[in-house]
Amino acid sequence: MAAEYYRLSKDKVAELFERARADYDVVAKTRDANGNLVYGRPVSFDDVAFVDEQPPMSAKAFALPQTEALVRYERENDKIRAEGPEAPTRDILIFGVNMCDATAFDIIDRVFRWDYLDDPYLGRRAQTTQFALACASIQQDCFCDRISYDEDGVDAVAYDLEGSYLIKVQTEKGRTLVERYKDLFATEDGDAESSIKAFKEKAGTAKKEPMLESAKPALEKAFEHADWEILASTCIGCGVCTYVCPTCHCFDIQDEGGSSRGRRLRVWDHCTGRTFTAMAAEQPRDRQYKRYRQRLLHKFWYYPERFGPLLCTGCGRCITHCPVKINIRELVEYFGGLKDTPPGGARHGK
Amino acid sequence: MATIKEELRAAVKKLFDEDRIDYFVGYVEDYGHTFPAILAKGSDLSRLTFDRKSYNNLADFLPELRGSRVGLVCKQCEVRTLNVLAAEGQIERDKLVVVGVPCPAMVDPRKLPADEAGLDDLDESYWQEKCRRCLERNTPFADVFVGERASTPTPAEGWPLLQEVEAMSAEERLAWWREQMSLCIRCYACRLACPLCYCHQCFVEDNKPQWLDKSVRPENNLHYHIIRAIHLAGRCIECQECSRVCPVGIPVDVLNNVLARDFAERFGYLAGETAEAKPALTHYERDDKEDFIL
Amino acid sequence: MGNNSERLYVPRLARVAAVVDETPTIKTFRLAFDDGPRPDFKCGQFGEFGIFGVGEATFCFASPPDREYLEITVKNVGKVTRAFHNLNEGDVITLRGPYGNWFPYDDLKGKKLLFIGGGIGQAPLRGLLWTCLENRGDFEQLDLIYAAREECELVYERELVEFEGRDDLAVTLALDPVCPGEPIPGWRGRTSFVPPILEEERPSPEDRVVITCGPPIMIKLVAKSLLEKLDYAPGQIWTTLEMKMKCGLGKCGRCNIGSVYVCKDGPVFNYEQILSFPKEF
Repeated sequence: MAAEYYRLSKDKVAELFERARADYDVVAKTRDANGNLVYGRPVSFDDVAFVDEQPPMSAKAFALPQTEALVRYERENDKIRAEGPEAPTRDILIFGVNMCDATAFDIIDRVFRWDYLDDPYLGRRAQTTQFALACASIQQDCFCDRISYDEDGVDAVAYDLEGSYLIKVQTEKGRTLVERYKDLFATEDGDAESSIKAFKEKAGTAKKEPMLESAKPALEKAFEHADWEILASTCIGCGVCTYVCPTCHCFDIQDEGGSSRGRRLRVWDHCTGRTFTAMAAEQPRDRQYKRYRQRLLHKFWYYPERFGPLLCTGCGRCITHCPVKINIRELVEYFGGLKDTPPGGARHGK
Repeated sequence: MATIKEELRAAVKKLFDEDRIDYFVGYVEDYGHTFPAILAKGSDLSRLTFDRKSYNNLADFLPELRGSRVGLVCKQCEVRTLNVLAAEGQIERDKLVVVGVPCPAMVDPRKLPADEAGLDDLDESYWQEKCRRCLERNTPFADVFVGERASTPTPAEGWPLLQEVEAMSAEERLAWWREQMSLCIRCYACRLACPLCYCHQCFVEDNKPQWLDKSVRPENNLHYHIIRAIHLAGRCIECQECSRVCPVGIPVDVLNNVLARDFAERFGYLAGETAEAKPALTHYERDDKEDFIL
Repeated sequence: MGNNSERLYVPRLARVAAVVDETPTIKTFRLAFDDGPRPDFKCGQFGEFGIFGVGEATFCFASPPDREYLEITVKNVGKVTRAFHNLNEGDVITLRGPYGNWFPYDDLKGKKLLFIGGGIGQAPLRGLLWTCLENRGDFEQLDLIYAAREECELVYERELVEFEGRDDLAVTLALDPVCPGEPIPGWRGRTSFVPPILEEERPSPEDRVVITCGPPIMIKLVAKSLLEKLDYAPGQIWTTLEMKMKCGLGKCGRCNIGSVYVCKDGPVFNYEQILSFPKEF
């Protein structure tokens, strides 16, 4: 559908939030027990955190939970009964989701709907509406300004134009949201796209060349570059970057329970881990740098080759939360020929 | 006068020039972060630094580099790591060149202000927990010292979070831990950033038998953290890297700290305090407490 | 495109109808389906087989597609395969699939086929080999080189004896040399790795297609020998790759080699494709 534009007065936001809770399971940025930012279920509107800062965990878990039952099985007398996952009971509205998290859904969708349709994921996805809040500033590790992917596929986006929000609606799910509470929304008469452009310029989120998509041709030639080993040598092989990533979607399938009753589960897994590709006879990625290289190239070469966009929204979480601060943007620029100097100055000694 | 960065860069250059090391493990600054790098001969040393964001315990990289001659920056509180690793046969001390530094106290990355201009002046309310209670800022032994000797700090009394947890009733404490464990995403950063979790195959990776279910649930997460804490009992040197690297902010180090204190009380043993001390759990002394034997 | 069942991850159930001990570590399971006809598959495809409470593992279909039964051959190497080895007749297993692509049978017609199997790598070749034998007129010549580390590691021993008795299939059996050059007492076949056999026999590349599966090192060395010493073109070699897989559906991200999903674009690959992959394996 063609984009539609509305205005939402700031003093109507609390009412929107409260009324939406009747129709949706409303998720928003809030604080957990330790005071850390999370996408959670605020007790009241006052608990909603309106900040540009990203929660460490992205919003992907609402469509791809870290642990979910794919199959439930039970033995009755001599027969085993196996059933699929339970469908979510309520639609989810992710209220004020960061753009880098909102766009990620459309990117993951491409994997889960190509060829075989992944019913547990797509079922959840169909019930999730993103109501994004565009950032008014860009954080230290963010690089969404270097990735072409923009508002693509996001149901509705709010731009804070002081005094009121400009709302851009792009999908039927977004339209449903506005339709449901239409008395709260005013029509937008001005040149909305110009306002959005000006907003992004001011926020620092407007696109800046060179875009990281342009690194792909050089990355394709850099697989055997000698500096992978030294530049990825500090990777400790944990799962932080992949688990905080809004687009990483790799998983494991594991059974839990006995032979007569239990569940076959989907659990997130990480390619940076030692056991990811280990087989009984062979470990194809036998060194840590090879595992790190897989993550980077999957995002900036393999996935785009197959599905189009980058497998990255530039949220920068994998830099912020990396225990050793490996910087994927810097490495893409270096191995992708956009930059001559390796990050941190390390070079292969040989 | 040369800054600590300049002294450090000169010292490392000298180590390479004199062919005393194959690798140098230090902190470098780039893209607004300070982070560890493993530098080989020929690397650009101009990014080497030591500042209040030099968080990592660099000994984490040593077991992987075993067999090579390695230089590393070692903060005072991390020297104990080297002693434990050496006692456990994981490093060859004579192949290490330790660069001692005066520690300015590390800031808590969760409290790092957006404007880092005044980083050097941040007071203790911004510091990491271990730094608030630090007793000595200079590396006690080193092969090379850089920087000017730091003055003796005034340690803060106690650890508020630990005191809070200990004041809880057993039920409250279990509920508190359950809540913390519900946050855990089992990324295993705590284990992999820990210089003493060097097992090539961790029990969490075993599947014959599978000790730990992969599903991320508070019970399983607690199971993991308890087993890990017990594997580190009498070995943890309290660098608190496990807590710093936790992306969801679980104070993992509380578990380890309590066990470390038990070792101090029961065995008069502080892991890695000296190079000579025998690991408490693999060594028997006649006066070891036996009051747990019924 | 997607042949989706409504519930992608809900498996069918199958019953173990028979178990054959192939070697001390390898068993073949014949499966029966009580809920309908057995799944239809093509030579080279695989399935995700599982035991509830233990998990799933990837096995190729090891029987020819035109037989009434379905067989898989399982080496006891991990958690799931060990549980398979503890199965008895009548036990229930789970199956998803068939998944993946298959050998291009029609393109192979009229050619001379040389099958080269190594160890349990014979399993994915077995269905195709039998299909070729049953349609012998489709092929000008059929050869089989089958190698294993030790005699007790040769799978489908009874079939090998039958193959050796046929005059429309030339069979060479080989065991890895323990001491180079020394024969193994009581062994009827050759004592050699595969590449020296190829370089000695020099099967001409003319009109010939090689279909090989075995340990990765064997595949690599066989290909090297054929390409460098015997003037084969990469396009004349077909193999089937083993990568760790979980979903089999192009979702879980585990089997990627570059942008290729081994589970979807493979497991059967032409060596020309393999040479275009990032040099990861």
